[in-house]
Amino acid sequence: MPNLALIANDPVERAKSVERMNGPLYSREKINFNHGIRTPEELEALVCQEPFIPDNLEAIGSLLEKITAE
Amino acid sequence: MSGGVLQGKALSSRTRHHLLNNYATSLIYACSTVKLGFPHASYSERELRLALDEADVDLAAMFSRRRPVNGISAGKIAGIIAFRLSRFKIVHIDEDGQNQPLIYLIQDLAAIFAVQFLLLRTKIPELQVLEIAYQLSRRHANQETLGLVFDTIINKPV
Repeated sequence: MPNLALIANDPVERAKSVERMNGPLYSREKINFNHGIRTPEELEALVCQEPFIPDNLEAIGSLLEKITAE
Repeated sequence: MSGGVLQGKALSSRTRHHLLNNYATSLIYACSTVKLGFPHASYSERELRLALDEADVDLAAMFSRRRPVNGISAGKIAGIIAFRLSRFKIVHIDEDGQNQPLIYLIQDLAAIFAVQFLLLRTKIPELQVLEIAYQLSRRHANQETLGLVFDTIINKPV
């Protein structure tokens, strides 16, 4: 991390700084969660199974009714 | 972009078919939830189609960014699709249905059910379904946060 006064007065140091920033020294951090669906085919395999219908759909309506009545 | 039309490639024809067919089911359950008779509700085929097109573009961008090493979790995909299904002008209620005060939740409930039935494939507690629907309908929501919420629901401790 060069001091600005140095860079302002020394073209060689400035050039070195540019070279460091433009080189491989600093590279983008790669976050690798490494999970999930990787291809459209895998997505299709998930979506095209029999739908999962939860057993609390009526309860959602009842709760909504109760909340609105309060 | 091709001919002014955004094109994705993450949703295959078969995937789209299942999503579209399932949407009708989800809308039926959503109307039942708010006690609105089915004759009062219609859906725009055009808007539904365009919502999937937009989700497809989002998904294609994510796939291309993460492949080949990383994938996209089912919750994140559900977040993208639910967001698009909630934002396009899909569900329309006729004049006689306007007296039902909860109709504003129908499209958002349908969006949640649509991704729940095919992608999340798990039960969501009743209160959370209503809270997510309200958030989608009346407050701020985006694909990323919805995706994280759905991931949390899928991966809840047993």
